[in-house]
Amino acid sequence: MMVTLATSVVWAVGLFVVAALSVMLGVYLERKVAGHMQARLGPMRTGPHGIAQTLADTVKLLFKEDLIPGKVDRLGFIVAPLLAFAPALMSLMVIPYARPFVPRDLNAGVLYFLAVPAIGVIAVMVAGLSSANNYSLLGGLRSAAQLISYEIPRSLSVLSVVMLAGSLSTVTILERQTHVWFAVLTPIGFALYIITTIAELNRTPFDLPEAEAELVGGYHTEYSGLRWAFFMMAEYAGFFAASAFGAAVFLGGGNGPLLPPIVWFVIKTYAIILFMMWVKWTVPRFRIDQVMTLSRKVLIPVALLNLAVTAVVMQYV
Amino acid sequence: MGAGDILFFLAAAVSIAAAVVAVTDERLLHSVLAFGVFLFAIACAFLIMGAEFVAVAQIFVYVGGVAVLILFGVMLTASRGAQRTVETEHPMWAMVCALVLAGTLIAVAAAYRPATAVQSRAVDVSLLGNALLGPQLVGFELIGLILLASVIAALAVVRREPGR
Repeated sequence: MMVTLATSVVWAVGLFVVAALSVMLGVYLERKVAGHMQARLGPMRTGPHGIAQTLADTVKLLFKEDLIPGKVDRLGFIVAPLLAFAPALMSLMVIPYARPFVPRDLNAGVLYFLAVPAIGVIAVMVAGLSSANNYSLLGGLRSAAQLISYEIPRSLSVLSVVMLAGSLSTVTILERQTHVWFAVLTPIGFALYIITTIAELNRTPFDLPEAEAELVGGYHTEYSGLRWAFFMMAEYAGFFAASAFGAAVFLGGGNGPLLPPIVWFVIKTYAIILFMMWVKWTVPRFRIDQVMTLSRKVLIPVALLNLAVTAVVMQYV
Repeated sequence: MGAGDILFFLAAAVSIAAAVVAVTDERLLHSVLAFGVFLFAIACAFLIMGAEFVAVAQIFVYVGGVAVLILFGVMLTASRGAQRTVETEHPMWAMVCALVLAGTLIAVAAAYRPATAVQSRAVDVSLLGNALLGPQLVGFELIGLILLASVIAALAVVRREPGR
């Protein structure tokens, strides 16, 4: 028992390192990709090609004044950033990176991955509520509404893979893809997963929660310094987790010729990440009613239809 | 006592403490937060006992559904920062009800003797799925009917007459 406890602790620390590294790399990539897509260079001055920019930013954020506005609800205000970061870290636990890097093969791993972001919804709402600022409140309300509406088509899109694999365990799903990726068998499911994941991550074109022109900074308007950094870390760690999950469940994870599995896994994960960045810097932002209509009148019916078609094909083909 | 037992009692202690805070803290937001912690600690306890599916369902339905719903209520009624104002008019009866309920639960729990020593091991989710869509199908579908009825009821409540 003590051995399993020790390995659990090692895994937890290891996954925290993975989360931290993915955040550093994610923020750097985001700036470089944005720069080059807009015919700029992005950060160039800290280190070769600005490689140490995120490190410099981290130091800057660490040294900023720890500011808690006077009228906020202190408990909620302090707890919300931590609550936002927790699910991103928790969801890293069930991702089958590549053997032997499989932290935990839960029986209901896929469900776990889909359920954990619910804690992030609470974080967003608590941040908005406790900030004592109407922009924060509206931002929190919007984010929560968006996150909840996109949870349904997202779960349905992954369900098509669960049906094909006949298992809720992420490891089993990975093993069933040695010959053909599930993205090939259920392309609509994969497309739905990408779209709804962009929405779940609050990335453009679904970044309503932070629509700075109308809501200042959304639910984290009142946050600064290290507390604000926690929201950023949550965003980019969640970004990595969602992409890694997509790579494992739809793109066959570490399966691939010649190169070792972990290299394939990283290539596929960052392919998804770069694709989402490409989308972010290409497509303009939706309006809130368009976001809601898209989820309820397009994505959910398409996802249900996809499930039905998958079931029929599985039965008769 | 193994590490699993220690973790279980930790989760149980957290859930009890959170439940106490949820009913005693005067600020509404803190109550809701404590309630969320309570629900999550219960999920942890399920996980430690090997009931992975129940734990995940607990997070899905209670943390992601019930707690968020309550937070929506707090947000939309602009009662943030609100102090607890509702006082019960019958504290004695409330106490009697609570004691009767607690007594019954404790009595039932104390009388429960599992046939064999309970092993905490993971239950295969497919067994659960087969049970829900096999022997328990009628009950499972009836729950869907209740949900449908509540959705229709909610729509009927918020529907506006045309022209108003």
